[in-house]
Amino acid sequence: MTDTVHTQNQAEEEERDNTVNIVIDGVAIKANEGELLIEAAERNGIFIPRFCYHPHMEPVGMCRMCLVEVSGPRGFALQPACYLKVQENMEVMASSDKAKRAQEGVLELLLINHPLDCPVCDKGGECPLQDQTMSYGPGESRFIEEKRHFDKPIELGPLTYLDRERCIQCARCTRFAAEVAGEPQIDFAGRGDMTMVATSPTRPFDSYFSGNTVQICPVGALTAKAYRFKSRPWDLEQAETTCTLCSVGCREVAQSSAGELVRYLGVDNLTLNQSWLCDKGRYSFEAVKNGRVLTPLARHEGVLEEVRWADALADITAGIRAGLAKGGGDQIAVLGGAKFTNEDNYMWARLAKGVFGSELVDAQLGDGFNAELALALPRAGIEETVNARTVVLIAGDLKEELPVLYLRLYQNLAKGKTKLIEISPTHTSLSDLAKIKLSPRPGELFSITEDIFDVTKNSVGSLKDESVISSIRQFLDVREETSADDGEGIVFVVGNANLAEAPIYLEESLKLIAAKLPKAKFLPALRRGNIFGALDMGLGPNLLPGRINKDRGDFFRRTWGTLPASPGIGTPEILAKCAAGEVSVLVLLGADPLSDFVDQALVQKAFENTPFIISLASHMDPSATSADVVLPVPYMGETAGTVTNLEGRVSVLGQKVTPPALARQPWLIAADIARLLEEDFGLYTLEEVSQEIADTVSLYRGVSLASLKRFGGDGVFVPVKAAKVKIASSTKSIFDPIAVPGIASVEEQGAPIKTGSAKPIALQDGNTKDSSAEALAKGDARLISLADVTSATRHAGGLDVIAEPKSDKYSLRLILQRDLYDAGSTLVNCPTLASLGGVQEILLAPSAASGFGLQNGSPVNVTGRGQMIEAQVKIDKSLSPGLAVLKVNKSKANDIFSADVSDGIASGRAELLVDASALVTDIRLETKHDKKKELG
Amino acid sequence: MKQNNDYMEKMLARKTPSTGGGFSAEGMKRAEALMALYPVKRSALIPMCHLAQGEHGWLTEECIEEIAALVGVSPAEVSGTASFYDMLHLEPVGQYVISVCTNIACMLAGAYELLEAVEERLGIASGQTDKDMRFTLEEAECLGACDTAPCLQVNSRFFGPMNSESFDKLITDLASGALAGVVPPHGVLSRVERVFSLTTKGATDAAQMDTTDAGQK
Ligand code: SF4
Ligand code: SF4
Ligand code: FES
Ligand code: FES
Repeated sequence: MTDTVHTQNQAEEEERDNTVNIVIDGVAIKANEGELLIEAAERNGIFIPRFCYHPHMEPVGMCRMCLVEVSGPRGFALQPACYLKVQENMEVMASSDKAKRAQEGVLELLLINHPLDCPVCDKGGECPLQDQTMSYGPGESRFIEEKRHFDKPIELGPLTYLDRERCIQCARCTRFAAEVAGEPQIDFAGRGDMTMVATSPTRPFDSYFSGNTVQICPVGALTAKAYRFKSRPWDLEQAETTCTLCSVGCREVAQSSAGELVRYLGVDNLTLNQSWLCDKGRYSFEAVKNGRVLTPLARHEGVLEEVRWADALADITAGIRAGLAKGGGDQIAVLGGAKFTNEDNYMWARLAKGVFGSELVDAQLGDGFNAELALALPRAGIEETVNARTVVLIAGDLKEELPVLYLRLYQNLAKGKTKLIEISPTHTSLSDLAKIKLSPRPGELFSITEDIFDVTKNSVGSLKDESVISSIRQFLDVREETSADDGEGIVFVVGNANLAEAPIYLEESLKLIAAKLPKAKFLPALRRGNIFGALDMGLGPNLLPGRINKDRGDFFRRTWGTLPASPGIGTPEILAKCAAGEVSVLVLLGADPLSDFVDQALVQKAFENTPFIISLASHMDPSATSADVVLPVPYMGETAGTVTNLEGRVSVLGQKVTPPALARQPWLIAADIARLLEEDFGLYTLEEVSQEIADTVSLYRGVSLASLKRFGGDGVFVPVKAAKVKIASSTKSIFDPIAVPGIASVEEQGAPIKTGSAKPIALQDGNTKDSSAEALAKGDARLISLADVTSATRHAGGLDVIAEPKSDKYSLRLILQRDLYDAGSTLVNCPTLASLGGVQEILLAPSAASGFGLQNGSPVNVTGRGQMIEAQVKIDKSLSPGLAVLKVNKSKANDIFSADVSDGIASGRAELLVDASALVTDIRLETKHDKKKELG
Repeated sequence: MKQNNDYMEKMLARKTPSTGGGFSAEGMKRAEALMALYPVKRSALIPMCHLAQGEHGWLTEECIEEIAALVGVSPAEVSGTASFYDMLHLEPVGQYVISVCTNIACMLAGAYELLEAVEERLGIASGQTDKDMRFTLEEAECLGACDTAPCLQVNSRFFGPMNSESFDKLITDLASGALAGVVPPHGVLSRVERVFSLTTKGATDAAQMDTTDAGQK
């Protein structure tokens, strides 16, 4: 017995051999070398008051609230604990009289110019200044003079107000902007008591991450337009949940007041979002109230009318029966699922594949790449990515697509913790930090990949500068002889950087890279919310639940009864079938292809030629408006269940508010339809569905709502690696009310984390002995591997570089990308975000623009496929001539709220110019003045 | 050298502060040359702000953007830093910026009476600019010319000791152009341009009051 204890202690000792011994308030403490005193104290349960210190930013020692007495050569002296690194034998007095007087003094000084308008301040009730004044303040002020006054509040940016009187100059907001977001749009201005946070006179604080400054401001100086005066902290209720607006899946709390969702706050965890959120995710709560589908609707004589659920479901069942009778499962197509939970998607996969027998199923809307490939590539986590030896970005701009992933990566790149090679067609937010930057033109990616990785192919320099190619080779250690260890420490972040280019170039490149660098890992940058959950649950071509290929689906063939016979196809081909009139029923699982698919001509034709369209929608989006039956479903914040992010992290959604009375969870709709088709699944509660996933989907074995709620913390990665899962302390949320004010207490959060307190836990309930990883290794349902990926048939062998368009000088090759603030349903339904939509801009190289006689802001018409849209010229020095960049889902008008939506958005929409079946897209430019001449 | 003098003459020839705009082509060249003097680019930030002020009389938005791009910081960092210094103006100023010292030596010698007289004469309060954009009045801390207390500066040139009568005369002289060679347009500092003395413009005796140019004749 004693022996065991002894060895344990020894092991612990060895584990932390770089510890230093310090004494705080007479207690001997082991601190980690290089650790800040404030952190060492906190880990050992001694709280030192602070304002400017934040665990995820470099210390500045700005506020002096953390003054403690520290021993030095000349005896004890006051020093800021947040700025001082621990040293061997350091002696600290954190609550001596002198330290207390110092802390009181600092608070008295801070309060001199603080307006003390707590009763009308958003922060009142969750304010670190209030709280620490109560605990550490002098109790009385000696200041009787007049306080300073400023005009207040001032608008720092479109989403943020600043009350300068309340600011205590802690520099949290300015450091966040500069250090974390890499956008120093705010800085201190003025001097002395007139010091204030300010933007430059020319540029507003319009960072995608501005909301984080509001969250970490330790006083009510920064407030959010969307939350101001909406609630008092003591009226708030909260639930920990996951943001499902993009596939990063940031952990957050949803807070409501009087049953209304009023705020999201990022939850502090070490490996995912570290308490940060992007503004789109943060302020999306407004969409809960606007533009909702409230009742089931069915089209009668051309008009959508409210109907009863029973009638809507009867209509649907009849339509599906008719379709099945006409031509079997392939008469029914099911698109979408990325906005839904894993439980929803599992049930819909089972319904679509196991009941309808359809292989026209895809959760992606043609904006990613081959789903089988995305699932088969060895996956990296975010933490692994941002700490990789080298990160290779073969994707679009992460800031626009996966904002918080950009944030994590930016910080580590700026600090030199990792290196970046960027292979992306345009200048991205990370380009300036890249060691090497290559900009493949549309259609060039595969040739470049071959140049880099196929050492035998003698084409080096055929496209790009030979020295660049060879330095990339050097960086990645590409050699002629491939060894099994090649690629160790390299993470590829991969996604479709040009929506007007066929993904085949990317797909073939990825296959080549994975073959050449067996140890390299991949973080697929598929963007949509729960896209990975949807694909993991089988809502993709040739896929079945648990990342397995249809060919290995014996288990599901047995339990589900049937599986589709025909090969699976992706959304573009499915829509082509719809357009050709070969599909009877189109089911949209929260998908809105009419505003969210690159080839608008194709979607419109598909909608015209599909007799029966069913839309499960939370909002009345364009596709729902054109559907035959619309079923109301819950939105973010109203949903319970689990989701899976791009790392393969499964987490629990906390439902905070009740959905509209008549809305139903999509899984329940699937269960109802199955029952009406006489294929009852026997699953009647969310828990039962979740348990069925945990029991039957090998990849998710043991990962159920119940086990996640007990042990999940910030989520667990599937497949679960060992039967006994040790949740490392590093993945556990930290609860520091000063770091993230406003979060009162969150389930599964403990304050503060203690090392060694993480106990191994069992995710299973005991009846299954194997972990999912072990079970998978035994082969009862092998995970999809690269060899299983159904090879693409489109354009096979046609991957040579396509000649530049040369019909005339006005022809350009198109790069179509995504903006975070597009005119999608989030912006349309969130009044605060609505004005951020921005107009459609066409990026041109300087020489191209001057050749056409165009300047920044010149209006032009852009044509393609017989369509014409309007755009404003923006000159981009990094772009090469012959190329043009447009954005998807953009409007012509600045404020999509005030614009005539149908007309305004349509005439700026680049999706009208793209043919989904083409390899690359060429467009023509028509400057307004020579329009007549050019058209004639 | 000749070229420098040309540039200086151009700066001195500016009658009033401009309403906006970026660096002139010449100014841009100088900005780049200035940057080359420093091992760390952003060290050139303040000298560049003075350069901009020399060209426009104040730190225009366009110049802020240009400086930010040149030294590799954000515009907010440039304006934030500039706002620390009273000598850098982030808003348009009048043709003459009058800074009345109210620090201790001057105060004892009657600075507040002087300030009141100046306010009355100009019809504006400290911190304001008159509507014709002729005068901007500000209170200053010790100008380092306590021996001439109470003193003031006009476009950074020293005058003192002053009282309401001598201030009246100063205003009249400024209006008549009698001080054209002494008081340069606002923002023109010979600190930026150590090549050229104002005395070449003629007013030898007056230039002796110009401490910033002392010893450079
Ligand atoms: S606005 Fe808030 S976060 Fe920013 S410096 Fe002031 S108190 Fe700190
Ligand atoms: S980065 Fe993605 S998951 Fe995170 S808050 Fe933004 S939209 Fe939500
Ligand atoms: S100085 Fe240490 S917390 Fe501010
Ligand atoms: S006190 Fe006025 S110049 Fe020194």
